[in-house]
Amino acid sequence: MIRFEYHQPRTLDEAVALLIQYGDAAALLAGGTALLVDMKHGERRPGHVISLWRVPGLEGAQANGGLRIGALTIISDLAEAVADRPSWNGLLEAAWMLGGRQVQNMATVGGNICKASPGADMVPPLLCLDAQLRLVGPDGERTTPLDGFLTGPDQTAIRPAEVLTEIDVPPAPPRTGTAFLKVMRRHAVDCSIVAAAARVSLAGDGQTCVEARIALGAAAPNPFRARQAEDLLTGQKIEPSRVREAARQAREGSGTISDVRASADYRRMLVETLVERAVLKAAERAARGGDR
Amino acid sequence: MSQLPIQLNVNGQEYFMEVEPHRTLLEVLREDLALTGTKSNCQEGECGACTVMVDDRAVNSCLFLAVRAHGKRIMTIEGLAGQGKLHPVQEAFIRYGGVQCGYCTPGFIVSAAALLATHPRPTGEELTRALAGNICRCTGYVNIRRALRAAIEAGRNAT
Repeated sequence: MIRFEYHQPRTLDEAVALLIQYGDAAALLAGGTALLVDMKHGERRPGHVISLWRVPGLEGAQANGGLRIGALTIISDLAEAVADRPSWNGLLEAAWMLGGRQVQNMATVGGNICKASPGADMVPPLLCLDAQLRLVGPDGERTTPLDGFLTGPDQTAIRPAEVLTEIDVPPAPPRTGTAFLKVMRRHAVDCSIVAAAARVSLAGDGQTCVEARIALGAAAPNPFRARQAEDLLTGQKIEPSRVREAARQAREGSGTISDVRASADYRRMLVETLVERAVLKAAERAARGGDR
Repeated sequence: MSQLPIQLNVNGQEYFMEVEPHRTLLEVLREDLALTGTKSNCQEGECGACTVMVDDRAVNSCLFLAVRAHGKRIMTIEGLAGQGKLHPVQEAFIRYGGVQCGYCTPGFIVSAAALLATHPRPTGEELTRALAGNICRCTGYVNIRRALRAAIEAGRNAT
């Protein structure tokens, strides 16, 4: 592995100061499951690694009405925090499929977002839940939607010397269900070829969709929301034919990529299939009453 | 690069040492402490051969910087047996032939022991998820699962 200086700031201010001081030569260490692999392969060569693990207040997820996820919350702790809430099943399913148990015990939600991999598995379900990000930087704190934060492979809209501190999920509307599905070459511990997350929030009649979210991972350079497909569901009764129509729309609206894992054509087929299944699953969970 | 002082509790024993920040827990366990039961293989968190427990949780020691392990409790395959008695999972691997070439075995056993410590009666699905990060390239999964089922059953009868 490449050699580096190791820094262990004890406050966010210290972390930000180190990021200002070392600029592009600095890398933040969260779970390390991506950073260490990149450094071993020589793909990243930071001269200064800044560990966030001595900064208090960044670990752990608290579920009340909404969900507050510290950026250093490990994936297995997130899974535990959302386990009993049907409206967050999509998050749980994504957490269970992110690497093996050992990786889930190291990798963090904040790291998964900031690494900005095309297949970042926590991002599609968080997009479906309208997650907001809290960041602290030289100019203080700001909040920004997760939607739009990822701007390319390994690229985010994070500003110089900023640290992601928290991911906030607002309370889910009543009768909400979510789901996450992904296709890999293996059945576990593999990068997604395509992943789809969905949220359906139903009206009091238990059939009409008042709010829909569909997000895709690994299909394009970044996870993204299939807004036109969402629009086909909003205000409509959730019926198989309508869900199929939305899935077709998601397929047509997806600028899929070809890479070592699959061709763009194959990805488009997966988009259609996974969107249909994820929406139906989310709707079924919503119809069972969501969290109530 | 400067060395950093760290304190590790490995298998109940305290170690004070100085390590360079780029060294992984795996390297320090194997090279400095001669605990070679933990295996080095894929080096990128895919195979699970390097699994150890850090504060009771299974992790890939190949992706865990030794400096991050400062002040933590590490359990390796060497620490599972106590007072001359093998861990029940180790016993079951022997009895049910959960070992072929043996390279993945320490990782599997540590992963399983970590699971059983918190979930003594896991469902089949829980077992699968807990072991998904361990690969047996001999594909000896059937006997590994038989061994683990037996260990779980033995634990149930004992309580």
